[in-house]
Amino acid sequence: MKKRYILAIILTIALVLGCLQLAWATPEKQDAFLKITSDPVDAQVYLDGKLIHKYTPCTIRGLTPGAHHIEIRKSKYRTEKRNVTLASGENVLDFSLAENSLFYMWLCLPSLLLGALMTLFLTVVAEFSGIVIGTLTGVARVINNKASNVIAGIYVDFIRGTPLLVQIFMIHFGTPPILGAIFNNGQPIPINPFVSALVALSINSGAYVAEIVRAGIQSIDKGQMEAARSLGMTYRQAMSHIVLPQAIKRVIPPLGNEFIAMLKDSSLVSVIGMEELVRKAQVIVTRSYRPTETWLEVGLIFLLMTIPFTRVVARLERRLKIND
Amino acid sequence: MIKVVDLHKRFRHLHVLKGITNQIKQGEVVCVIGPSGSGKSTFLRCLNLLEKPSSGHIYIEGVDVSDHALIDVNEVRAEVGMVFQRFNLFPHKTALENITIAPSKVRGLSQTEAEDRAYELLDRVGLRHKADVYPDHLSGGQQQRIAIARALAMRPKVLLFDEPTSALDPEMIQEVLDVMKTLAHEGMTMVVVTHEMGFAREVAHRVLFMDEGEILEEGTPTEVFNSPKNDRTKQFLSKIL
Repeated sequence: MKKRYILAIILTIALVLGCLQLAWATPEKQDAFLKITSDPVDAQVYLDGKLIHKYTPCTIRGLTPGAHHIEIRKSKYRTEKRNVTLASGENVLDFSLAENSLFYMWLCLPSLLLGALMTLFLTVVAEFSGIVIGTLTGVARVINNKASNVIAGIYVDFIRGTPLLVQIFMIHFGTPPILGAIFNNGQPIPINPFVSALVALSINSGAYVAEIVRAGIQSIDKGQMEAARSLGMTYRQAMSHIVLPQAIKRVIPPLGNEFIAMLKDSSLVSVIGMEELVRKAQVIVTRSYRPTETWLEVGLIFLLMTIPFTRVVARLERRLKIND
Repeated sequence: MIKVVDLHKRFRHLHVLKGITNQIKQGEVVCVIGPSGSGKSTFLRCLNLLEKPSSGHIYIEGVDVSDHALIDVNEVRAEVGMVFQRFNLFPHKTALENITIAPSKVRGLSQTEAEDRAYELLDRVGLRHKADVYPDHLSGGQQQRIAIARALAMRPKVLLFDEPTSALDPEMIQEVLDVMKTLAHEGMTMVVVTHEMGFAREVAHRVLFMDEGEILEEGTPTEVFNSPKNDRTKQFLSKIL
């Protein structure tokens, strides 16, 4: 019985002492200090619109407690704003990126889309000049002239027989010394990656287009040429008025396929530092260490670009078949 | 008009024409008959300069055209029209354009002149109402009639027909033959390779029987069809008549 009383009294005393201790320990109003962490690191910290620290993580001292507006600017990613009420003493805020994969992909999107735009641009320009080169070469392969047949044949065989990657290296790294030897007293003239990318892709697609054009011309019934010639037309007239207009129709669908192939192959110019879709993704991955989501997103963007073209080509094919 | 002297044609090892000698007069209709592979078509293609003779001579209006390097091939072809077995109309052009393209490009006719001429020819082959139709939408017989109009648009001095009815359905043969008959009656010089013996009998002034690259027999239709002298001619005619 007595023991119980003693225990209760001790506990009560301890409680009272504890309360007293708490009251004693409560400090007077003092400055707040703020610990800020973020992932990725290295964000600028703005307090109430003013830059107060250039990188994270950091601890900022000497703040007045109360409501504040804090803005964190993470380079390339985003700016994050938060209204906080600081208490006296230590405050901890974490501005880490959301772990959510979808959100991460959303954050990467602007940069990747910029790269996709460059990819599209490269493809369109390369394909366009490829069509010009290819049409000339394709015609050169079928006309009645041994020299032009042979030259065009060598060009097409060389390009189709070597990897595009090698062609890109040959132009970007192989030609500067040659250019230098001719124009710059042996001092290599470096080529802008953009220029060598365009040249390499154009020359490459030119060879493939040449084969398409040649096949298109040869698919036209020989009787067409004979009928035109029998009417007294010259070879050139027969070619330009009778054979080529018919060939062009047959060439359009395979040209569409060539365009799609070029869209994908253009990713190879990332190796010479051309900032297109793949290169952008590489840069992002080195910073974020999140290859899975990044490359998945790159794949999806490529799909988004190729699928409409595939559809258009398929429709063209169907329509031209009806007319044939 | 056309004179052929000892014409030979070889394709590598194949000796297709073995010494053809013949003469075709102005306004004459000559039908060439014979089994397939006998060189009839090659003979015709040599006359249109689509094939280069290996040796021998072809004179068209007195000019030797056998060496293509020495003459303007296109000029000669413009004077020698050709109608093909498979029509070979230009599928990307309407019937009218098929007819006008050669006169305007080769002869340098203005668009209206060429079209006037084309409509006149379309009337002659009875297809004026099909002027703006594409060849794919025409029947075989209609296509061949357009092809004849196309050849005529160049106002050729000779018209060569290479089995013009062989690719046609039976009910369409007559309409083409009718057009050819009218042409023959108008005094067109024609060389016709054909299997239509009825046509040859009725229209031809002269019939040539060819086999294995040689002319084995020639004469009026009555002579050749009714009393052939050569055994091979007899054999051939007995098979098809």
